[in-house]
Amino acid sequence: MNGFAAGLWESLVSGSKLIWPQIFLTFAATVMLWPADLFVEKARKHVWAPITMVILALTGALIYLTEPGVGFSDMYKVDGLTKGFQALIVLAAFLAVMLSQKLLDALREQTVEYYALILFSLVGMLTLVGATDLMTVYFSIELMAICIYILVAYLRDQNRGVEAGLKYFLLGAFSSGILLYGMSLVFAAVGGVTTNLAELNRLLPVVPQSSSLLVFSGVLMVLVGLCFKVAAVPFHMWSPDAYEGAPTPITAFMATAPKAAAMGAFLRVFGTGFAGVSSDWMLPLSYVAGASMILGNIAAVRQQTMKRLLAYSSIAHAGYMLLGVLGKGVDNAQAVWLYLLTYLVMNTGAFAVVIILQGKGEGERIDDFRGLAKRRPFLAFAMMMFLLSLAGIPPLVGFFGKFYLFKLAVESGLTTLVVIALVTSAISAFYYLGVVNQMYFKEPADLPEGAEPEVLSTGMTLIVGVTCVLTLVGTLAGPWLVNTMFRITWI
Amino acid sequence: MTSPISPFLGVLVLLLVAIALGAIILVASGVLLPKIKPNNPQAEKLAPFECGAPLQQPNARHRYSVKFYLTAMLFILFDVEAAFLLPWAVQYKQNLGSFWIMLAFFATLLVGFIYAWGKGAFEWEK
Repeated sequence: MNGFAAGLWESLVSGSKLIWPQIFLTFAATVMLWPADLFVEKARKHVWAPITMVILALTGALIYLTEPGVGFSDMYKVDGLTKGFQALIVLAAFLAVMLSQKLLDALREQTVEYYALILFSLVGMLTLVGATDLMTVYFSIELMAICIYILVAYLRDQNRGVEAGLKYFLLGAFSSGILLYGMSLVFAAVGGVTTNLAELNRLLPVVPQSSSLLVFSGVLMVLVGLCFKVAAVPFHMWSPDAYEGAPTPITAFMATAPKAAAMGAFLRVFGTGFAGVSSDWMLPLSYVAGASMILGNIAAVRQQTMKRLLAYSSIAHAGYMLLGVLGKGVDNAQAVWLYLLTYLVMNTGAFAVVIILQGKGEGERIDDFRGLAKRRPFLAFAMMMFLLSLAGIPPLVGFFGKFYLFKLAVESGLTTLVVIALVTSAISAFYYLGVVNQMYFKEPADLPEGAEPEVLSTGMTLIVGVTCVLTLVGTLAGPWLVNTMFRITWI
Repeated sequence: MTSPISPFLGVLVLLLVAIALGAIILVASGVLLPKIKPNNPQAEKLAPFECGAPLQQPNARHRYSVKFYLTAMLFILFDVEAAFLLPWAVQYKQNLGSFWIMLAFFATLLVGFIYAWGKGAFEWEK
C-alpha cells in the first residue's frame, strides 16, 4: 500500500474506535436482513423485536464506552454533546421498538425490514450528532431521512400511510436540496477550501465584503434545511400528515429520535460553525422559533385526532428548543438536552397510551378518550400526567426542563421570545386540559362488546408505568440530571 | 474580479441564453407561425399528438405493473455504484492499495444484491 490508500487506511483504523456503535449497528442490521431472516419463518417474525432491543442495549453500552476523540480528518468527533445526544437517540429507538411489537402483531405487519430500517436510521442519527463537517452532516441526515421515509409509509396498504410517506419524501428531498445548496454557497464563500465547522467558524467572519451575501444566503439555506428536519414553522407542513399516517410507534420515534439528532446537529452547526456570523441567522431563527411556538400551539387547539394534536405540540416544542440554539452557549445546549430527555419520557408515554387505545389502527380521535377515567383509571391518570407535563405544570418533569431552558434564554437576552414561549405555554395548557376534560368529565361512549383494545402487553404496561413514574418524580432526580447535563460539552 | 463567484460567470451566461432561447421559441411559435402556416384545419391535424395519450389507440392506456419501477430502481442503484468505479479505475495505477478498499465497497454492495435477490426482486413472474 502506498500514499493515498495507506493514509486512508490509517485514518479508517484510527477513526474506527470512535464509531464502534455505528459499525456494530450497521453490521447487526445487515446480518438481520441477510442471512438471518432466512431462518425465521413468516409467522415468527416478531422475534426480531427483542433481538433489536438487545442490539440497541449493546449499542448503548458501546456509546458509553467510546472514548472522546476526533477522527476521519476532523469530520467526526465524539465529545459530551455527541455522547449525550446519542444516548437520547438510542433510548428513543429502544422505546419505539418496545412500542412496536404488539401493534405490528395486531396489524400482522411484522417484518425484519421494519427493525432493520430503525437500526439503519439510527446509524445516520448517531453520526449526525457527532458531525463536525458539513459533508458528514449532509450524508448522515440523508441516511436518517431515507430510512424514515420508508418507515412512515410502512403501512403501504393504507392510503393514509402512502400519502404521508410520499408527502414527507417529496418535501424532505426538496429541503435536502436546499440544505446542500446552502452548504455549497458557504463552501464557495470561504474560497472553496473547507467544509469543516471549526475552520468555517474561523474563516466565515473574515470573508471579504463581496462574498458576504454568499455567506448570508448559504447560512440561511442551511438554516432552512435543518428547520425542516426539526419541523419548525414555516417548514412544518409535512409533520402533521406524516405523524398521522405513520404507524403510531414510528410517530413516537419520529417525534423524539430524529428531532434529537437534528437538534444536536443544529446546536453544533450553529453553535460551533456559524457562531462567528450569528448576526446573519439570529433574526431569522428568532422568527422561526416564535412562529413555531405560536402556530404550533394555536393550531393544536382545533385538532380532532390525538396524533395530530401531538404533532402540532411537537412543532411547538421544537420552537421552545430553538431558544437553546439561539442562546449559542454550551449551557444552552445542555438545557436543550435536558429538555429533549424530559420530552422523550412524557411523549413516549403519551404515545404508548394512544397505541393501547388505538387497537388495530382505529380509534385515535380525541372523542375516544371520553370517560376513559371510568373505563381505565390507571391509563387516564397516566395520560393526564403526560399531558400536564407536556404543558409544563410543576412539579412534573416537563416543568423542570422548560424552566431550565427558559431561564438560560432570559439570561441570553431573549426576553421577547421567552414571553411568547410563556404565553403560548398557557395556550397549550388549554388543549392538553381539553383532553383531560374528555377523560374525566365526559361520559364514556357506548363501546360495542369485544371492542376493547388488543394492544396490551407487559411491555406496554411497563412503558406507561415507568414513564408515568418518571414524569411524576423525575424532578426529584434533578441534581443528578443537572450533573449529567453538565457533561454535555463540545469543547 | 476577485469575487469567488466570478468563475461561475459562464453559468450565468448559459442561464441567460437558455431563458432567451425558451422565450424566442415561445414567441416565434405564437407570433410567427400563424402568419406563415397554411390555414387548412381538419380534425386529425387539430388532435393533440405525441403527448403521452395515444388517441388513435385508446387501448394503450392501461396501468403499468409496479415491477417496472422496481427494476428501474434497482438499475439506478447499481448503475450509480458502477459509475463510481470509473474514477477509481482511472486512478488505480497510482494507488494499488485502493483495490482492497474497493473490494470492501463491493462486498457491501454484494450484501444488498443478495438481499434483493433473496427477496425475489429479480423474479418477473410471481
